[in-house]
Amino acid sequence: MANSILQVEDLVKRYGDVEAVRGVSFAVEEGEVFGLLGPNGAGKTSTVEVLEGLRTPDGGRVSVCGLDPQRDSAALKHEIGAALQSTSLPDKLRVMEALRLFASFYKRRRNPEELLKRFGLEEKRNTFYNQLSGGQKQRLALAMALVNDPKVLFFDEPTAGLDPQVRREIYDIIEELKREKKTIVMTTHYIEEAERLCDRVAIVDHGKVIALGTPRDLKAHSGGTTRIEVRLSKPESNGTLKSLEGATDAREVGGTYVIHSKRSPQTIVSLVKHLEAQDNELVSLEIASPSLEDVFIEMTGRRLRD
Amino acid sequence: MTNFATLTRMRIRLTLRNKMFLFFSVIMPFGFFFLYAGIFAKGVPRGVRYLLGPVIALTVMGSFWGLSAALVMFREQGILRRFHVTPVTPSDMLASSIVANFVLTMPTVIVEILFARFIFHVTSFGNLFSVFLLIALGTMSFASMGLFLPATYLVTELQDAIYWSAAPWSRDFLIAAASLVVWAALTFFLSAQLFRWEPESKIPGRAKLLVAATAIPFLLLGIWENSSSHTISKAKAMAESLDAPSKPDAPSGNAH
Repeated sequence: MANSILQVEDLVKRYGDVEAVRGVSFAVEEGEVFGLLGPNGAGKTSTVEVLEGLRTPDGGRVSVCGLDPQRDSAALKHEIGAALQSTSLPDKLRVMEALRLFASFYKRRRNPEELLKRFGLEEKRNTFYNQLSGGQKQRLALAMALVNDPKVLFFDEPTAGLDPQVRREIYDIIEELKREKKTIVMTTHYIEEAERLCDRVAIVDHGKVIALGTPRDLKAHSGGTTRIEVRLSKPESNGTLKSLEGATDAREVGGTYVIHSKRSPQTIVSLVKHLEAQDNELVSLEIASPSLEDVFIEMTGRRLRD
Repeated sequence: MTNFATLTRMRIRLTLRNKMFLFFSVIMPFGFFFLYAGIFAKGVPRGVRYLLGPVIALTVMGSFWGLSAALVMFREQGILRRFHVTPVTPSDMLASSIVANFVLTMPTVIVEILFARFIFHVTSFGNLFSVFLLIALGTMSFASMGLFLPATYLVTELQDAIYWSAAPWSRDFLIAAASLVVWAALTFFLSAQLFRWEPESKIPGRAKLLVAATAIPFLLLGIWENSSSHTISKAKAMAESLDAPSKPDAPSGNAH
């Protein structure tokens, strides 16, 4: 903790009367991909923007690479790279010009040619920014975050508004950075993204961290039950289903029986046996493994929606 | 320093790719030039020479609007935010705007002077050194905040320099140049202090006080100018000299 590359303690950020961040604390270790997961307006972006030195905190302490983002702003900016939310470039700036321009601001630089190749933008090198697709703009934003070979990377909603295929492209890029042991702090409201990319996740809601840990730990902690959804040809009582092997809960929701189980294979086997004995039939069966969404629902009573 | 240089190059390049620039920095100034020189001054060399000052001042102001509008657009589109996470400072951003503005305005001004020389046969341009010094100072003071006061000084002194051949050491010229320098320095300082990277951010109350404090010396100067009618009497003198009997075809004094 003492030598964490990034530390946040009791961070508070207000906008007028609105308290966007209400006492957030966490620490990020070197080489880690750390995610802030939460719905829109949870305070993720405000937290990240304080860490980048873009916003002044109203309380608490923050340190990035041993620097104070406010006091040592000039020094810090050489150490960080960022892909911001709702950012843009001049329409008539070409891809390669953008990389060269931003590289020129730093003492430590990476070769723009190499970045262009790596982010698959070689063919677009002379294209104006306003002629790029959403995915290409985002790839350029990520490439630009790397021009100074930063110690800490901030990706604020790196895949928001992109279609699923482009989103997967961005995941591949972030996974590659992860293999290179880059320290990344990212925000997202996509469960899949947090589970797939992050070593550790802080679940944020209403300006507070409500849970923090590895995606696996968080899921295990929240009961870790698998959801089995079945439709039957004849009605069955909830009580009988609850008594199936490994089952912890069973409910009928609109004609579908939702069974929660700690050992799903055994539960399914005993369900099938039970149905055979009752001369009942399975119409459909779906299994959903526990996700961070279940964790969020359990802690807030709400869904974490797009 | 290198940030300033690369930003300046970028601003010039982007401006040249922008069609709005063509309008504000090329079409509009030449439109004014021919309107003033051809119609108001009736193409008479003496009249053209008299109105060249205001036309050049308009050119300088026009290109200022083009460039500062670009900076505001950069902010509203969230482009400045991206620069904010880099080591670029507000001073880099402002200084590059000013220099890019100057570099892009000069060719138009030079062409206007050449047009005056070869189309309207104006043979003498007064003190060209003074003219260019004023343009440089003018661009700088406009680039931060274009207010009425520097406009007055720029217009009358450009006229003085061109029409009366005012040398850089004449008293009025020194006052005008000094006020443009002070204005440029103050507004630059203020703009750097007030520089906003974010579209939604507000100007802090402390900053508004600063603006008010900066305006005071100029307000006093303005009051003094008004009560002494110094600038106005100078304009009258110039206009009257145009109506002098030796030049029966000179335009009337209320041309502008």
